[in-house]
Amino acid sequence: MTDASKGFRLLAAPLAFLALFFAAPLALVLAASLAARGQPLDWAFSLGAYQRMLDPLFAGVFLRSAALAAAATLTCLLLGFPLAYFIVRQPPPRRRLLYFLVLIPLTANSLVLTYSWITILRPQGFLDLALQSLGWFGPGPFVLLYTPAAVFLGLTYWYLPFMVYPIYASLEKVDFTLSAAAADLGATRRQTFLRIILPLSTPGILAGSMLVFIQCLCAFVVPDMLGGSKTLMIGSLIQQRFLTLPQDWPLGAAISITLLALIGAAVFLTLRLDRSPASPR
Amino acid sequence: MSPASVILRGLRKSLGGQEVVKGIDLDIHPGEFFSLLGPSGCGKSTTLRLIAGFESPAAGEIHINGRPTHATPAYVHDINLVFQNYALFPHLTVHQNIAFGLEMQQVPPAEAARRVEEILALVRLSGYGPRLPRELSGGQQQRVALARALVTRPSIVLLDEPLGALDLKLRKEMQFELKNLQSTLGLTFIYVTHDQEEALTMSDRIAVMHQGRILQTGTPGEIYEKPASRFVAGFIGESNFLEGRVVSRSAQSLHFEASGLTIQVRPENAASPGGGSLLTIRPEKIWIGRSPAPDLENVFPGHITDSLYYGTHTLFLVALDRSSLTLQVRRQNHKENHFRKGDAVCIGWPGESAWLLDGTDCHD
Repeated sequence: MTDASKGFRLLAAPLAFLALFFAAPLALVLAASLAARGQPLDWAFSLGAYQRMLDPLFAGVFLRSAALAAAATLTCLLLGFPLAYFIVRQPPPRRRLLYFLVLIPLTANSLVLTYSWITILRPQGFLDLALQSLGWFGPGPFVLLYTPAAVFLGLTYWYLPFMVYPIYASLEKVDFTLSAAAADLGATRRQTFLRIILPLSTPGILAGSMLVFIQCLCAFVVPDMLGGSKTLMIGSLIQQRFLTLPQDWPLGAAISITLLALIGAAVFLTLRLDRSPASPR
Repeated sequence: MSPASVILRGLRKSLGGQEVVKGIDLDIHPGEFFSLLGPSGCGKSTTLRLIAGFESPAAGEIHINGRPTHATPAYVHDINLVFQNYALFPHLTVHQNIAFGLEMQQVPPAEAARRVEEILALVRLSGYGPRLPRELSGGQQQRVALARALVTRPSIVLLDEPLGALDLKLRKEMQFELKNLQSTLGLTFIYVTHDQEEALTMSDRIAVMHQGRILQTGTPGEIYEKPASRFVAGFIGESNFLEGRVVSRSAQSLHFEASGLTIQVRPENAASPGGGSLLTIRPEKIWIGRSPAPDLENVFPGHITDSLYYGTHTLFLVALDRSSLTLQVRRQNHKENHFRKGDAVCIGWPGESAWLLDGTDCHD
């Protein structure tokens, strides 16, 4: 047996799995997006769903989603980079410990975590009570729950690890004698960071930003539970089209497909952008 | 002599709870090629890092070009370090790497570009400016690292085993180049190495370090010919060590007795005036022949027990007939010097060829 056919045999199982559970549902969604509106579905070809998608009513949801996702991504970057940098510079045993601490939120149940955020952000929640005890004298209780700010906080909290890990992986490969060399040549700490460390960690920054932005844009649980109906995001919009009245499966599918296409384009552009010598080839 | 460019006084440093530099005093002169030589872990690299300002000393003083720097271990402009792994910036081209230091000193771009080209020519890498470091061979990367350290015109260049990663042939070439650059530019080089041959061939002076201390400082000739201790004699080159004692002395010679042999040694060839208990003789200073040479003070019969062929020379192991000693003898390969295992030979050396040591090494 040749190596190639051996390789194909090894690939057969994962390929079958992907075809059945990934490609097939995706094809189904694509087909649904091209169906005419029906109760719940009429399999006649139509581009109507894509036309209905252009309703200005939905533009606000798209923009809000993009803005919140961008804000959360930027905040994750600003918090995540220093964190990753700090962890990388620790001696190995402590480094491993900190690395797994960052992982903890990912291992906890998402509903439990979201409910705990609700207890923090609701009226008479921890945040409200803490501010009151500090002498908050605004008009009424300090409530973030069911506002864009709550969604922003939730998304930032939720997706921070996805920013930290790629940056950590990039920084881990940086030879820190390079900072010593830069300093030896008269660079200040700021210059060393901007000219040496930052360019060398660009692949991690791009990968992390991409991961966080995409997940924030498509997020469903966090915006739905912390944002409520007032802070509708794309994820909830799609879910509503399928499950709540007025149901419109083709529209939900069309939004999903459009989102997928946009994200695909963004990933492609980022990969094209990331031609820095520090990135793997 | 002009004032020293680097002065170290009572320098101490601990790393990870262990004292690795245990009181170093040194004067390194301007324009000197000075080597810190010792086995790994002897504290030579730490000493270099202290001079560079990467570490601050636990005790002691560092003066660089007349300025004390031990209290404020900032990076001194006048000193650049060539790193062991070169530490070239992987995302910058050769040109950008070399220009980095100039940029930090705010040298105008046009002048910086000119100086980079100049230094590239000096290290024979003209035309390599646009390449990335990973596109160069090890020897070329080494020269870029050197160019980057030289381009800002420091008066002192520190080199931390800069040739360690190169293969033997390239290392020998680079030894010449480094030495040439240093003497042409009139710079002070402080060179850390564990390679005794490298230190001997390139240095004006060498400090031999062991366990955080300097055992001996001197010219390569002094270190080789007149080692101050057994460690130095053993670390630099090969040596035969004969343990024994001085049995009598006169104005012309000392008589040293070792394993049944009586050996004449010139009094001036003793590290301390009282004599010593350890005689060292370099293998290449021992004469070997089939019959005794009449003009040598020390001649002993023996026979060849083994030989190692090195191309230019052969190392013979000669067991002495009147003693339990076996000595190493190194001879140029020549028709008359062709001996086989078991051959009866005579070996000998003049009184000035041996060097008498105290025998005890005074370090903990």
